[in-house]
Amino acid sequence: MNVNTPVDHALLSLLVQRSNDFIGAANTNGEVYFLNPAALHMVGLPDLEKAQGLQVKDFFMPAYHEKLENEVFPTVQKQGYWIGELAFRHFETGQPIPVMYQIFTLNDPVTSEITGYATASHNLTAYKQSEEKYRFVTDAMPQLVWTTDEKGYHDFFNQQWVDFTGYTVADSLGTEMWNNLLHPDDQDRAAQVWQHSLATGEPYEIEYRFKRVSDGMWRWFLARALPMRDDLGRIYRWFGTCTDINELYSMREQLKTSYADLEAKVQFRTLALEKEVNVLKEKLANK
Amino acid sequence: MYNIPFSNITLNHINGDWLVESRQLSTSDPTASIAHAIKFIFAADDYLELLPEGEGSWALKTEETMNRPYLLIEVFNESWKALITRLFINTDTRYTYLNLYFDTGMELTLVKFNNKYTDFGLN
Repeated sequence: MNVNTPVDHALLSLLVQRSNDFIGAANTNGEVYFLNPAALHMVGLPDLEKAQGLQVKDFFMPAYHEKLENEVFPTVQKQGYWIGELAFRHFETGQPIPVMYQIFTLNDPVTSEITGYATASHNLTAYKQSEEKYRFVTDAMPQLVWTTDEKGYHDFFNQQWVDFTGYTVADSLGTEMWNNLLHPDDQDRAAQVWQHSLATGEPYEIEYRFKRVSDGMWRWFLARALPMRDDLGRIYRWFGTCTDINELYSMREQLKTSYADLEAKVQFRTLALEKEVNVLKEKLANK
Repeated sequence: MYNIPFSNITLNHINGDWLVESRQLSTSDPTASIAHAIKFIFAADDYLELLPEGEGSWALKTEETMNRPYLLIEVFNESWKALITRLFINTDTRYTYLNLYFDTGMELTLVKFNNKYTDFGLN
């Protein structure tokens, strides 16, 4: 079908009626005069009659009213649209409904004058629940959990990270911050290994030290990360964990030390015995 | 814990009063005075005093084959070679520990209170 082919109004109406997204329109005073069935259902209104006369603002949680007045409405007036995450309010239960809110102006085709406002907004409840579940699981894990985009930009840290390092998630975002928090002796090595994984897609694995904010002690971690790939095999995210192996590391070092000590003792003792043997040999030879 | 590298060990590290913290006796010389000492005083002039009894001399040497330092100890006309298996300062720098392994098989851990941090270049 040619993209310029006029679509008949019956089809458009059907699409709006059947859509699962919140679709609505308001006049220039912000009074709502149209909502599709999905919109009515989403906010708990029985029919369009009950919605008519309500202000756009009435559909939102009070916590967002200031943002609507100061940012959303001025922006849509100025540039014709605004998109962002907000929360509708369910009219019966008062519960928030997270949405990706998209509002745009309706303009007169001849004069371009604003004749009203419309929205086509997507319900994010399922996504938010999934995100909440993900956060719950990662926060319940004893490891420090982090994710990056495909280029290595850190965009997520769990609560354990915040508790251990003392840095907020906002402070930790980016490509460099995590490396700056490592022990100075580990920074170059860690950066090299990480860059190698980013370049090749090979799993990331390294041992390094982070400082614990509660007592200022450096502790050894085993860091691992795997790439997440799309259907075409392209990496779109890295999922990483840092497991505290300090005790294990100390034990391993102690074992190494003990082994080295043992080796030295055996050699020292052997040398002493060899000397004794030589002394005895000399005595025997002189008899 | 800070390990002093073997190559950096000097007489200054050994000088001083050392208490025996632990010992593992050897079957070859269990009755030797050195095996029952509770304190070693390594004086600066190579003089060694043992408590409760014993006196002699000491020297810091290098085992050439192993390239490792050892102590040559002579008490009551008997001599021992003791390999320094470890010399370290504890985390708060208050104590220094000296692990010795004798050629008879005996092992001693000596501990010294650090009242001169400058001995270790720590300040």
